[in-house]
Amino acid sequence: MKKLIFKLFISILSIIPLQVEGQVFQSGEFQGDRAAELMTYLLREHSYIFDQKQLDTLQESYRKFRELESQGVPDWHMSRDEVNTQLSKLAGKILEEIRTSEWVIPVSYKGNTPYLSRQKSVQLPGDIGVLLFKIHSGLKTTQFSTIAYDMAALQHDDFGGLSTEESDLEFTVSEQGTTWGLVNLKNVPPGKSILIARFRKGNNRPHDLPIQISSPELSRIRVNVLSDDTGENTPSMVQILWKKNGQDRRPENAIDMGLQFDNRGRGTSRRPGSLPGILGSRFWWCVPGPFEMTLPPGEWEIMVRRGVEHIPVKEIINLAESENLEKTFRPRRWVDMRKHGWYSGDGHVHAQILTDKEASNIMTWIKAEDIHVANIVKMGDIFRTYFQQRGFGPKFRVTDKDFVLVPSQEGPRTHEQLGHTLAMNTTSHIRDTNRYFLYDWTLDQIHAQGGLAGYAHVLHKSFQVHRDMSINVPKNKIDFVELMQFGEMGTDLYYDFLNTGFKLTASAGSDVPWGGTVGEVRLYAYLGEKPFSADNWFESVKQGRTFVTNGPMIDFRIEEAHPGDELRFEKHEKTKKIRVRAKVWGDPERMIPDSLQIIRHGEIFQEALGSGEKELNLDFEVEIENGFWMAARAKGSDGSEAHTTPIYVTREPLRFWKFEKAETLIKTRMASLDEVETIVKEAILNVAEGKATGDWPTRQLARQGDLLMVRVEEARLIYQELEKTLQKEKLLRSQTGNN
Amino acid sequence: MVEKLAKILLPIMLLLHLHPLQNLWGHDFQERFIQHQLQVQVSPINIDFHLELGFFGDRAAQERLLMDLDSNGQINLNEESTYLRRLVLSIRNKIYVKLGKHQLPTPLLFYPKMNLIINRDVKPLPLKITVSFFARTPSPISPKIPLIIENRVFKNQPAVHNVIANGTDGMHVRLDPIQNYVIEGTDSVFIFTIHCLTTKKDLG
Repeated sequence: MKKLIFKLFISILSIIPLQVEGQVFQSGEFQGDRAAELMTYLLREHSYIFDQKQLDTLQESYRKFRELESQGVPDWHMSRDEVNTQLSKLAGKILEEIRTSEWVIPVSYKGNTPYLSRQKSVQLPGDIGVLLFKIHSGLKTTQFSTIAYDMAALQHDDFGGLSTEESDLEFTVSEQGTTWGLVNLKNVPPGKSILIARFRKGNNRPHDLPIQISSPELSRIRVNVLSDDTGENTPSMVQILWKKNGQDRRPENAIDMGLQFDNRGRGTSRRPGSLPGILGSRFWWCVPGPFEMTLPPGEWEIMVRRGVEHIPVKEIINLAESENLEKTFRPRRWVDMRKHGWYSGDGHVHAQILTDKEASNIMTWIKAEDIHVANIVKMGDIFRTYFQQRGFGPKFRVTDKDFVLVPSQEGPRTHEQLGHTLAMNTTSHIRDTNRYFLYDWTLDQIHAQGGLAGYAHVLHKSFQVHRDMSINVPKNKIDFVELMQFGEMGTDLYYDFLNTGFKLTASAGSDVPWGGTVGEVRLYAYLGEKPFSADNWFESVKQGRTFVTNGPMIDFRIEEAHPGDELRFEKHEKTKKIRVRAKVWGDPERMIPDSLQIIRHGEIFQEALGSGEKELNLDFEVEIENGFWMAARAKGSDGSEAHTTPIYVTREPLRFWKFEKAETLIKTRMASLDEVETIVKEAILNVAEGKATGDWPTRQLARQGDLLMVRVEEARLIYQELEKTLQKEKLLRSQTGNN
Repeated sequence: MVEKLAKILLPIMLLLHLHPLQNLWGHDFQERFIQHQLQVQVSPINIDFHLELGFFGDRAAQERLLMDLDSNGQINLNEESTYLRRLVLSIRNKIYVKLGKHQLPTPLLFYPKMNLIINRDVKPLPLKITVSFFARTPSPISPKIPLIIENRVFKNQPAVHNVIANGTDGMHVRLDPIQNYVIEGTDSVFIFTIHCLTTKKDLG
């Protein structure tokens, strides 16, 4: 049916010639992509040349064009040429709708000589703009051409015009048809300028025509951002968007972090944010304080953010030509988690810090995002290290009031073998490539230094991290795992290990520069009445007193226990009831809570659904039964999420695991250990057969394989013991009728 | 003579650099992956997909090498355009949107946008390409019948995916939890589900 309608549509187009200024489009070469490129520039970057009605019409026509183009090619009983011709007509028709617009520069040919049909100067909106030529030299074809033209690259010639010697402002014109030519102008100077456009038709001598353009004087703006806490100037994240074209501008004093990203990830200072809701589709610059900059006149949208605890501010301003304007913004807090005893941190930040200036850049960034602790990690793989640091330990921390940068490391990291380890608060860099696959060696060193050990990217189950988790989690060598990153949460592996009866603390890290901005996901650590210090913060993380979030805040307690705590009960207390309380709340302007869940053994045990309330609460009693782990999880209306570390409830002598699933979970872990054995065997075989000559990781894995297998065997013994425990508990539970 | 020699040797040297042997002097494993940042905007009329593809390190160098048709180690505007035109052909219909049993057409929307991040050298320097698709929002649309979306762009390449879904003009959208953001193997498709819900207040 769709095909029939399309054929009918095409047939109608074929029968009724499109009357355009007395011309008729006829068949010819279709340049669909070139038409699409030209339309894209018009609609995406220079929509200012249309009024809203025109824009709506054009956008809809353009979408129809795209639909026809996409559907019409493969199966229609019409040649590609026929389809192209009809689509070409449609593209031409779209542009004809704006032919009378003042923005279109008509060029006509008499013989082989082009003439400007209108000599009027083209008024541009500012330092960028578009020239759209309609070059008429016949009736047969329609073609499209797009040129990017940077006026900063040009020089004035002796006659006061702009030299075109080095420029490419040249159109190859259809010999017998219409050429639509778009010039995408950048760095246009204020006032009047002359551009020389060159038109080349066939093999004829090219002709130059002067095009007069005019651009307004620039305006100036000064922007101050004040802290809601102190009323003084503060670093912030800023976006300045020109409504005319939807493009943003770099604030004059935006900090330049590019080189600190070591050419890795998204190594630019224009930071995207993996942020929920409409904040996520934007780009942000970090500014240390007030700034002043020139902008073309017109309507601008200024948006200022200061991390998740503040309400972002958005204001639209109208700048007149040559105007000087000062604006002051003060993003208000919707919550101050410090007053509740919670301090924020980002567990995974990559940035080189070798100088005070580099430290100052990152300090400014975490202040702008209101992140109190940044775990700055030097990264390594088996070949080399990245994101160098001046040193490790308290001496190399950078502290400014209650903001602190703490150097540590991500590594060992293997991608196809065992996953990525992450450390917090270490005192020296730990690395030995001769023991690179023996992660426990590094984990033990981390703990010996008083640091915390964990895994990165657990939410994504990336880089085969389940394998080393299966080796080292049961040996109690792991403190935390990353549950949130890139604005996302993933709990599959986390729940599997908790359900097997292993305690793990929830952590989160932005992984910038791969992530968007520091603190876009964050972990909060509960310090209670203790004063803030890096040491106190890490101590709380060690105790598991954390939750992770990219929006909502959670308060979760069982009796008086906090996340990470264990409540232990006697054998006879099976029917004793304990009180569970949870609360979630969010920025009332954009992330009212959608749901609050109490998760027990990985499943929703209780749930409160939101219907517009500012906060959701759950308060109920539950019997201890055979013990469990319980956590709170929440969602905000903008897609944001939060999750606490569990509170562990045990009844002696039982484990808090998910008993009914434990057998399967143990088998899964044993299968992960089998995978390790397989890769070790493969590595040894490949080396023996000379297949790994240039494959350094495989050679190292083969070399370290025997020692790694010792670790695997140790882990197998632990799981075998757990199988025995399972049988014992089965008996215990059946004897006491507790199964 | 020297220029001629350089023209011949440069691509060979670069190819050698991209060969697995380059492991001898090291690289970052994560850079094998193309980063897919997909933004889904649902309005009552259209569903727009803006996909930013991030290439890093050696993977970026490979892509830059493909662009450098004259093998002079620099990518000019014409080479960039030619690359994008070829890309357009290869990514057509690579976003699938299914509503129940029905697959919605997903034409390309805007022409792809290249960001070589200032540097036009054929080197392991990051680059980003934004490609756009759209589908027509089905009517009526119920929260109970989700839209299942498949990203098949560069599906034979290892990828790390990220999705942000927004509603506009009164639409509100919920993204279902995603099971696997990392596609390590070849011929794998990234699939996720969104539900179109009622209007809720967003910023602004």
